[in-house]
Amino acid sequence: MIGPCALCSPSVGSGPFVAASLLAQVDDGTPTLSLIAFTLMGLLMAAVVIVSAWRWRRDWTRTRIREQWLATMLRSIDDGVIATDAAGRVTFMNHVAQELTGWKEDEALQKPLVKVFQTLDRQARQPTENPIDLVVREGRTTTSIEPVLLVARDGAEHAVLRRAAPIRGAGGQVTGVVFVFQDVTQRELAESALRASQEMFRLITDHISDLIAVLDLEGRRLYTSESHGQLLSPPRELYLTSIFEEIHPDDREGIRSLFTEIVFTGAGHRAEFRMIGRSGQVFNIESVMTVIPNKNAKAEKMLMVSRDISDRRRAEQRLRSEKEFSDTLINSMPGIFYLYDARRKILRWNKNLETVTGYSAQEIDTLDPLTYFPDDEKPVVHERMLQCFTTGSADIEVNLLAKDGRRTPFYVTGFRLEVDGRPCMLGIGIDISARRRAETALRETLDNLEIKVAERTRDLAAANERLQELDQLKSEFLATMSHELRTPLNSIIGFTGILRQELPGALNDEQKKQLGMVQSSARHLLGLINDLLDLSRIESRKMELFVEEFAVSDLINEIAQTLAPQVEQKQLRLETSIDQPGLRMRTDRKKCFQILLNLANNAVKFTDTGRVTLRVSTDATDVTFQVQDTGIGIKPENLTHLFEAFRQVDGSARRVYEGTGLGLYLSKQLASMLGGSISVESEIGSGSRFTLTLPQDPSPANHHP
Amino acid sequence: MSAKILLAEDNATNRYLETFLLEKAGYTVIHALNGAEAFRLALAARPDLVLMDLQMPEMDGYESARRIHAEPQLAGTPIVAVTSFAMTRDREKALQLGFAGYIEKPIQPHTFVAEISQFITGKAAST
Repeated sequence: MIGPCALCSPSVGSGPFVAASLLAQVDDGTPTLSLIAFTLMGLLMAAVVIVSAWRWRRDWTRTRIREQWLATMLRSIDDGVIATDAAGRVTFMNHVAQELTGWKEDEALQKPLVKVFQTLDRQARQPTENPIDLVVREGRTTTSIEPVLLVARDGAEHAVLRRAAPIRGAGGQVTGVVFVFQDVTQRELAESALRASQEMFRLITDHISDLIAVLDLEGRRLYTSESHGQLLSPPRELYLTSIFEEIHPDDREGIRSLFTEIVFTGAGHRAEFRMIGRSGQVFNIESVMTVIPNKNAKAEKMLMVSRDISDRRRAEQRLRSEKEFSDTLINSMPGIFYLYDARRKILRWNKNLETVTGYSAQEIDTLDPLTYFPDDEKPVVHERMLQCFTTGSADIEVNLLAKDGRRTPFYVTGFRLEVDGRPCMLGIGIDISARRRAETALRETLDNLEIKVAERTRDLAAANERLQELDQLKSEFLATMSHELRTPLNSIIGFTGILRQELPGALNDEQKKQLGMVQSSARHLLGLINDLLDLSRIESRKMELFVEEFAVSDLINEIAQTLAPQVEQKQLRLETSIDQPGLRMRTDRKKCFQILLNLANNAVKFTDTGRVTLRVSTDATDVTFQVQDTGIGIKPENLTHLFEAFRQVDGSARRVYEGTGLGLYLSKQLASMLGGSISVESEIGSGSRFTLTLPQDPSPANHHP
Repeated sequence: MSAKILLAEDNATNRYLETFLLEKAGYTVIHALNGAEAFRLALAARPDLVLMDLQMPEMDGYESARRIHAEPQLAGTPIVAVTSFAMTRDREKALQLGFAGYIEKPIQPHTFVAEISQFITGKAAST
């Protein structure tokens, strides 16, 4: 580095100036000596003359020598020299002065200086003050601080620094002035370039973030850049403090010996260490130290370019903790983790992958990821990997194939991400063996459950079948029984009828009466059997309808005729009425008859005095049959159970009123089969009214051809 | 000559009852104890009417009637079912198979002969 001392102003030609003064004395001194020689006469004249001559000769010789010497000197120097007399007329010019002014000495002699040596102020371009007056008047040397412009005879300009000094005579009086001037044009250019260079250097070092310091070999700062001053010692402490004092105590000795080594070997070196800043904070510094050699290639200074890498260090530290965190994370996660690039080269994986697959880290580093899947599952895995790269994510349930052939079911999720600008795939997989086992168990349970349900259903179906079979058997039994019962009844009723008809022979009254009782009981028994048969038919749904068209009046008459013996016997009245005398209807006549007979028979049975009325009315769709009696009536609490099977309203009535308890139940069932209904109203002691409503014409669904 | 009735009935008491009524009414009654016998007797005796119980041992009334009708010389012989089968189906089935009538047991002694007589054409019961 070039220090400020490099800018010291040089003395402007002090040597040539003295020489010019001597020359002036020589010019002046020669007549003085001649005058003395003429004045002194006598004895001593000869001696004196001899001596004088000798001395003059000697002096002259000396002077001549000196003149030649001076002339040579003045010719050889680079400064211009011009001498004038006290009036300012040119008495001497050396060759440099002649070159710069453009005047030959013989032309310039006795010319006023201002004509030969024309100078202008550089800024104002005005003629400068003639320094001769000042020098003559005040008798002292003047020096121009700023260069002035010397305008040569041909108009060329040169920047010159000039100095003017008085020439004194033997008595000390000023006899002339000598000007010495120097062309500084080239030097100014060089200086300007140097200044610009230095300025640029300063600009660079001050704005560079690196800390630049120039140290002496003791580590003292000779120069520091702006940034250095901000962070460490300020510039005012230059030359005072050693840089080692600011190095962290732990690093100080290390750096000091490194410093020494660099000085010794001359080789530059890079080092990282800590420094303590102006406010006590610790910096991480990365520094390059290079020796600045002197002209003799000896180490003279040390250039130290440092950088505050604290941020980088902190970032590295953060990165390290981040890495540590992610390493811990991926290694502690229960599943497997891996990162592949698009060429299926693995970049990173966790320990679990090694554990699960059984491959070593070295193997995993080189294996293709598809290695970890069974052959039959490779295509779908590959397809999902491609999908992951295309769509950004994919997942799959797949078996992981270990080195030893063991398979473990995994649920693997893949995500695409960019690592160092390249698309990669991150895979995370969790072991789903437990879930699979649970699913299997659940499935088995479900399967078992289904089997159990199926078994149960089969059992129930079988039971149901069995029940239906039993029901069938019951119905068949009833049918068979009724048939078997009818066969003897056929005989009983037949022979009783024959006897009562007295076909075999005449009977007495008592015999007739008793045979009547037999016949009545047999008929009752037949009724019971018929009811049971109907019940079994209804319950086994084997009751069939036989729809036909008939005149309602005929039906009513038939019932009246059938009941006539009993009505007559009980001395009741049976009244019938039909609102439409020619009324016809379509239904199962036999069942309709059965219902009405049952209702009318009950009415007769439970009525001791009064009458039974059978009334038929019609509306647009229905035919309504009303069977009303003036009998004992039914208690309200019994009305609800009236139409249930095997019920006779009052248990005690059985002794008085015969019946199976099936009549009303069967009637209701039959009415329902015919698409109609039965209802009852009753009042205890005053009688009951049963109403049978049937459609005049059954719907086509019930229609029997 | 009185009308000849073949009575196929396995139950002796009922056979006696019906025979009593029919003979009282002046008909000639031939007995068969099962369907097979009824078929043979029908061929042999050429009755004017067959009264056929449907449920009988060895051969039931349906089969017997089918065979009788299958014989050309017996084709016109009316067969009336007299049965304690009381299901509607039985009546329908019988009528469909060519039975001329269907009388449910127990028979009504005072109307039985009258019912029977309408199936006998040409010959009257001798009284």
